[in-house]
Amino acid sequence: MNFLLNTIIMVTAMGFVLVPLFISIFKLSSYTTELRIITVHLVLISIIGGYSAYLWALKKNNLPVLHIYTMVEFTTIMLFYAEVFKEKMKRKWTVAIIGGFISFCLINAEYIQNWFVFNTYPRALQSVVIICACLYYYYQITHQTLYIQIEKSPVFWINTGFFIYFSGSFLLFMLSNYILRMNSEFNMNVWMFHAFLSILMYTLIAVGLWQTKKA
Amino acid sequence: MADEKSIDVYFFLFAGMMAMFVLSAAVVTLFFMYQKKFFKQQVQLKEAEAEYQLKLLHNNIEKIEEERRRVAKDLHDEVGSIFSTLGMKIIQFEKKNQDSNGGLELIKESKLLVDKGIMSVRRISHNMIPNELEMFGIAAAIEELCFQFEGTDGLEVNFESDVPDNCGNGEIELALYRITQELISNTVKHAQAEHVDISLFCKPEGITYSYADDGKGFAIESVHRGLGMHNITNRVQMNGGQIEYHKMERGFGLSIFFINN
Repeated sequence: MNFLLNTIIMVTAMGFVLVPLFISIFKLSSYTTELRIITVHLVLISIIGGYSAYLWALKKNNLPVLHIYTMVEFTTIMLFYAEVFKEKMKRKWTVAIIGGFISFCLINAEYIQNWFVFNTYPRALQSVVIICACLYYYYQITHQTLYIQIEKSPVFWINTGFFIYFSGSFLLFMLSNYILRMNSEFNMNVWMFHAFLSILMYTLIAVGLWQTKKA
Repeated sequence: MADEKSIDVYFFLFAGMMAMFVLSAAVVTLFFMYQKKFFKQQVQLKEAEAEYQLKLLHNNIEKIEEERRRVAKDLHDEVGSIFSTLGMKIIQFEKKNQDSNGGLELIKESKLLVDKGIMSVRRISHNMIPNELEMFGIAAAIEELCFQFEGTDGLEVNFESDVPDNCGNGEIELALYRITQELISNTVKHAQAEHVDISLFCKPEGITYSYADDGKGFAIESVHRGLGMHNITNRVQMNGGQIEYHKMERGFGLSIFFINN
């Protein structure tokens, strides 16, 4: 019974990405570049997530997909922030950060860790970089001379979603290989908390994507 | 030992994840509250600025009207009386010098000039303070204004009103009079119109005024650029009214509404 409930929650968390995705497809024509990038992010994440779930259903190891997922997720999120900070951040820095991270992921998968284990190093690094980008966004907002109605800003909601998700999951991303060897019930509980964070993130992204009027 | 170690790891991971989650949520909440507070302050500041601007405008217009009254009074009482006295002196001079050669013609010309001067002083002082407005109310004043412009370049001015002597307060009446003055003057100068329709209705809920001409009109977007139109908008806003410019196929039109307090 417990296993069934956990499975339902896990599947819900995986499928929850469809909520912001449908909203973004419905409202795509009114979106600015950064919101279009988020739409692309959601499309790619849904496809990779769907394939990962398919492998999980077949009881096959889906961890190699996680390595690809990490690279795609990081790239699209960084492109989103590059657009948000386009007046502050030079394009070559974006290319360098994304290129450096993908290279690190590939080197990690081939030589440091393995395609068939959790990519804890890239996941932890990804979390740190994204948390820094989120905090920089808040810093930028507090330093602008004209204050806006922040709850009407799509970027605020999306940034908050990423910030809460990556902050909450940071320790789990670091220790996921380590806890895998431990009690399976404990593993399940920890991943349940991750599922909650994931649902929260996609809810906040959905709220952001719903806000299309100027703040 | 292994169990203890596992419990430590569980505790560390759960507590760590919870702490990170709570901390990030707290950062977002504080940031949100900070932003809301400053946004509210900014709105209040803008409202205070707008209120100050309105007061300044009110004061300016009041001063202009006061100055107009003073100049009109001086013109009428001083220059007007000087002309009148001069006219009488000329008549006396005319009686005493009936027989002088060529003098009679000169006296007639002087009398004509004095009469013209008296008429000009009356016209200027009348434009500065509309006596009809104070004596007979807004409807009579606008009717008099229409009468003055009627026939200028073939213009036909229709005025419709159900207003008794007084409608609203004196400031609103003066504003409506000045607005009508400005609008008719604009129509005569720029519109090449044949008809002007003005209406003024005083209901318990408020005062409704409308103006329309069948001239060449102009783009609604350019309404705020002209000083005259800017003054009209200011006079309406200053008295708490609402103004609406109409999009018309031909000509120009607007409606003004003042709510009765």
